[in-house]
Amino acid sequence: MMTGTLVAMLIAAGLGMILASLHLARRADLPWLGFLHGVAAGTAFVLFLVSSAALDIPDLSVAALGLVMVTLAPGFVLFAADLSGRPLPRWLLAWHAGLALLAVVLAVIAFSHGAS
Amino acid sequence: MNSTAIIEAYRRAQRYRLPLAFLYGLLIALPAALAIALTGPQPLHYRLAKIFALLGFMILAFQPVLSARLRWLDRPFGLNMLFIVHKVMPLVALLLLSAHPFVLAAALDRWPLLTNVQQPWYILLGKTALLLLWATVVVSLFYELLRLTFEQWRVAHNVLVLALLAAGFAHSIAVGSDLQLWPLRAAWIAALATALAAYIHHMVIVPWRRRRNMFVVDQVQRETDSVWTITLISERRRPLDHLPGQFQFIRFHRGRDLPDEEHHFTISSSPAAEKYHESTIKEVGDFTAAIGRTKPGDKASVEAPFGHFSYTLGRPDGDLVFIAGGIGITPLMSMLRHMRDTRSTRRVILLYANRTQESIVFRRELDEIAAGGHPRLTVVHVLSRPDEAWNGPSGHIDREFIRRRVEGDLSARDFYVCGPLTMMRDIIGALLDLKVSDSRIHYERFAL
Repeated sequence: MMTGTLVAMLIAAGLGMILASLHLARRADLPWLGFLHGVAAGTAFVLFLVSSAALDIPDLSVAALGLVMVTLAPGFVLFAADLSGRPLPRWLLAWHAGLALLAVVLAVIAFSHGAS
Repeated sequence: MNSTAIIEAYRRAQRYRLPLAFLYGLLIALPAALAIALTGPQPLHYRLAKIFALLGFMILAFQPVLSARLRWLDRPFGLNMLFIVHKVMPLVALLLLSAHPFVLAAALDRWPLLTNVQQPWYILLGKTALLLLWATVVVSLFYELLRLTFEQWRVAHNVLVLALLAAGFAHSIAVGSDLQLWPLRAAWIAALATALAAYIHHMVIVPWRRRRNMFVVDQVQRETDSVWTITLISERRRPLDHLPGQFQFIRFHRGRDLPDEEHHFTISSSPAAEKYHESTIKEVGDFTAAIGRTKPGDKASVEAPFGHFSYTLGRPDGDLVFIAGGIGITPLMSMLRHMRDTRSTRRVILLYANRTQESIVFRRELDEIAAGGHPRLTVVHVLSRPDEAWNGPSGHIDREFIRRRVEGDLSARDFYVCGPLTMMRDIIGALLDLKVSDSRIHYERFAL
């Protein structure tokens, strides 16, 4: 199950990087890409929660799960800012991306140390 | 109600923004908080799964309130902001409610809950509600990709929302052990009743009220090749009270096989024009393509006014900069006409972007307002595709253009921006780069 979590996190991270690049390059919005990014992140969150309920996951994974939860909030705020027609606050983009990256790194480390 | 009274009503309402936002959060969290307080110790994941469901349903129950175009919510927040919350919150609910069955199955170690088709009716109803929620979100986000017209989407949305609320409510009442406690059950029923009341208000009461004060098309005037101004007068001599820059929802009842969909358009006339009001509309979509076929004598039902994009709600003095792109001139034109009619002496710079000279709307009237001195208006036209006869600025309005054309301290002026989304985003970004404070940049992106 942790493999699934990790895959979903990596997909979300990849899509997030594409979204950020498009935004910073002032290219046209791709709403379906944003939606897929959200679905992947949401899937990672749900799988992570289910893993934490069903498996004995290491503390590092719990920290990663906490970070995923904290990362979701600025994601929704960024979506709201996008809908309002104003440029996305770069500090919030950076904060969102930084937290997500840290969550992925922690999850990868936890995964490589035996969670399955 | 005159303009001053309307302005006062809006200003008064804005004092309630924070308390109302707090109340919204409180009401959504109330059942979850009650569940935590009133039930004994439970395993963490089991409790989490239930909290997700309680929060998710409450978010959905308040969705009809956000979208019902309630005047008492438009005044403090503006429909623009309400619709943004209305679009974002279902995604939060989708996440929480999608997590609910998985976390519950994991917590109880009863995976057949997810996979087994042979389930009690209330479990199947819960699954149906979740599927309906996914369908509602996907259809709302991608109705254009799904080749649905706006009107088809709206009908589908209204039906899906009602069905998913009913299914979710029945599921929760039947299966939710927390909802056996009377405070929770009362909160739950009150939430559903609120949703239904808002739904009925929007779908039944408002249309009924609109039919009691129908408007008639008085004039249809061509402004440019693809832009028309429709003048409306009230059948019962009850003209529209509004602020300059606000918008209206109109449904034309024209017959002749013309669409009678409801759409929102800015009111382009001045509130000082007491016997009529106008909207200036560009042919851009399926519906507006036929706007020029509207005829004097056609009926229209109107719901208005809405919106916060008005200089009358901003600082009472100081210089203004209006930045418009194409048909985005309409709310700014309403404001300029109002300033002309009220003999305002404020200094206004209008930066007005169009493709060609032929596509400039209100060109002559803008010149007349500038010549009249009320307000002290300077108009700067900029064309992206100028012909050889054009000797004005060309290109796009960007940071350098604003810096060059608006002299003096930019941070002491209020900017009102209206135009296509990409233009607005670029200009707001440019203004922020130029150290114009957020509170002095006024814009409204209104998209349903």
